[in-house]
Amino acid sequence: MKRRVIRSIVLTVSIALIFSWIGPAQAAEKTPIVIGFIHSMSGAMSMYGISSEAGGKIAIDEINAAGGVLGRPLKMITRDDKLNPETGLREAKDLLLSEKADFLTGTISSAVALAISNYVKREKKLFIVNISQSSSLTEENWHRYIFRIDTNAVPYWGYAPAIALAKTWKAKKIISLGFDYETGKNSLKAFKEKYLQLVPDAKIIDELWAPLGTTDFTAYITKMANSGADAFFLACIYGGGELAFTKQAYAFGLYEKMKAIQPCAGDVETWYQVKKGESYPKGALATCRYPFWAIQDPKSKAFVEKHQKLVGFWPSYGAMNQYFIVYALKDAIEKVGAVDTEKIITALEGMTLNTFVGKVPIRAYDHQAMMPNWYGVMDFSPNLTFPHITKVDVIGEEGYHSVDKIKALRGGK
Amino acid sequence: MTKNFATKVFSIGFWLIVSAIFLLTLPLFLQASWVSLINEMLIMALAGTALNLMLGYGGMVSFGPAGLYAVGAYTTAILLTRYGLPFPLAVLAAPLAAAAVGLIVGWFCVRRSAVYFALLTLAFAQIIWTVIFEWYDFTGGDNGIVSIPIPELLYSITHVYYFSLAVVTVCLFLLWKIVHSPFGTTLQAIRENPMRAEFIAVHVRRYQLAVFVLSSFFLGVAGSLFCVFAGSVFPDYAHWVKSTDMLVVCLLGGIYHFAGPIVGSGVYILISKIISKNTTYWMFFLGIIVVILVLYMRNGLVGFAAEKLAQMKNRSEVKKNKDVP
Repeated sequence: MKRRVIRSIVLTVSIALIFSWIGPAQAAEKTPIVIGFIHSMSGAMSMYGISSEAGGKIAIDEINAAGGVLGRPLKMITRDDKLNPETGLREAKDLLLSEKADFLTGTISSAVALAISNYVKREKKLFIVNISQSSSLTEENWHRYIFRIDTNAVPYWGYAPAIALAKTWKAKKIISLGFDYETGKNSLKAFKEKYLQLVPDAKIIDELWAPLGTTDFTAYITKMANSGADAFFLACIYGGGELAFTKQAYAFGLYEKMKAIQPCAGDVETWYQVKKGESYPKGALATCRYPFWAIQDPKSKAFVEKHQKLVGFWPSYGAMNQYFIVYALKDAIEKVGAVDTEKIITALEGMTLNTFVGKVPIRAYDHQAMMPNWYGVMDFSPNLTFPHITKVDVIGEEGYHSVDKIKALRGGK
Repeated sequence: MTKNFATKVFSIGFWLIVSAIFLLTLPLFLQASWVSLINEMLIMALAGTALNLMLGYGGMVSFGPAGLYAVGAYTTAILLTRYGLPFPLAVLAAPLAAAAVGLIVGWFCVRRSAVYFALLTLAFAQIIWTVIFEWYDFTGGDNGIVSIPIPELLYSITHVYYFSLAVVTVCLFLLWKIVHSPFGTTLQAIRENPMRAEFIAVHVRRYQLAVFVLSSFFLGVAGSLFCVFAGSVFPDYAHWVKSTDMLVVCLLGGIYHFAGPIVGSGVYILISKIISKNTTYWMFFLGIIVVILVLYMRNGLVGFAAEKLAQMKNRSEVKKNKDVP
């Protein structure tokens, strides 16, 4: 009996010791400023995570080599969210509470971003989004502790393609094809809203909706070809769906029959494995979030090279955004002179980032960086192995929802 | 014989007290992120045990517990956000809503057995997922519901932990009572041989429906707790991947022991946490662990431990008997 009691006490104490031993990190001589990075590091979307991580690493190495921030080194801790909001939230808590992260960054999944956003709002810590596109993050669900240094779904899927089309072909009769879910519907809504305002005599003659995850588009393609429209618009058909659609449309000869507006097609991520001679969105008007081949600043060229060396493939826009985020934090910390979340937020509000893609203001009202959207016509060129946008032009702040529009969306708040 | 029985009870009671003291005091010496992790384990333990009521005791393999879990979570979330109901009501409504949905789903599912039952549960869970995913105006679709107005008292990790601990303890106690009641025994009889059970005038289908509803009720509690814990809900809660998480938790711990899913939950969440902290190939390692468990510990961790303990006890008893001249 006695022995049993003693044994149990020893056991309980040792369990407690084990637990407390797992956690704490020893304080170093110069405590680093910790940037937590939560992204999809495994599975289908891991390429974005790995690329974004590399972007952040490049910035941190550069800054640390030059003496750090306020004499302290920067440190980034990466966690995998597995595209799951529960896991993302768990990692966010762990980063803030046990790793004592000063800031959180990252995420591709909007659900994960929303979950973390909701958490940092309670904890009063800063979270900067580098990929998630859901506009609600900075519109309906905005709060003081969230920033986004990235485009969002409004310019990317809707406004930028509309402006691009109005600046180039001004197609009059358009047929649309989209994935049948909220983001798809919103994309078309945003596109229509902007385009019909810019080209009032244009018409969307038909809207086709394919179930989310469709890979056989042949029926839709025939319908589009026979619709009498002079252009088609893809509303939020991306990734594998877009590859499949393009293959089938290319084989059908749809790109010869009519003009194409394919918003997603400009990003490298979907197309970098496609070679000359294979099917691609030939001559389509497309938007792009980091056309590094068209950006002349030598810093961008150096960034691409470093990224290649680090992970062995082309940088995604996520890498560029993460690079800018780290520099934005550095500038804000130096301006404030301390790692003080509230003051840093005030410093970031209205700050203009001086980047290798030009000056990017962070709008104070919704904490959205006015990242440019590029557009161009899909083609091959001698220097690159994959199809990409050519005749590149850029759209800036006009691609985003205006402050008044967001005010209305937030119900006048 | 009586003494053996007494020591056994004593040791169970003793362990309960030790773990109670541990659970009650752990926010004092553990880091907040670990407390939060243990909170997740508690909620998962409740969900697992609720599923195990069907799986282990009823012998009904359900692939859809996540659907009912999500009904619980969304009920609390929607009642708080859209209708501004008082917090206790919103939490209490969750298990009732889950049980009501469970009644409808179960009514169809218990009409088929084995594989067909499993497929039906999966189908219904996917229907629930689709409804949540597509019904933007009501459920927020793939954006989920965030900024749920949880009382500020529960913002702190320690407070929400004690809240979960209290609710989970009460629910586990109720589940324990159910399992050890005549109802629970009948259930196990049905699991062992439904036809024989029917011969002794047990209305099998009615029992199965009852256990389905009960299980849904507790899954609803777990879902609601997670909603309170996270402050946000997402359609992923209803996804079949979440259901397999729950199934793995049950299998890992052992489905023929009440404590199985509880141990399983702790181990599973700890493993996935540690693995994903150190490597991005977590799926690979998790796979290996599952293979080892299935091959060498067929009755789960608790089953394995119980077996070994019994062997040890047997050996010592044999030895004792030998010593007696």
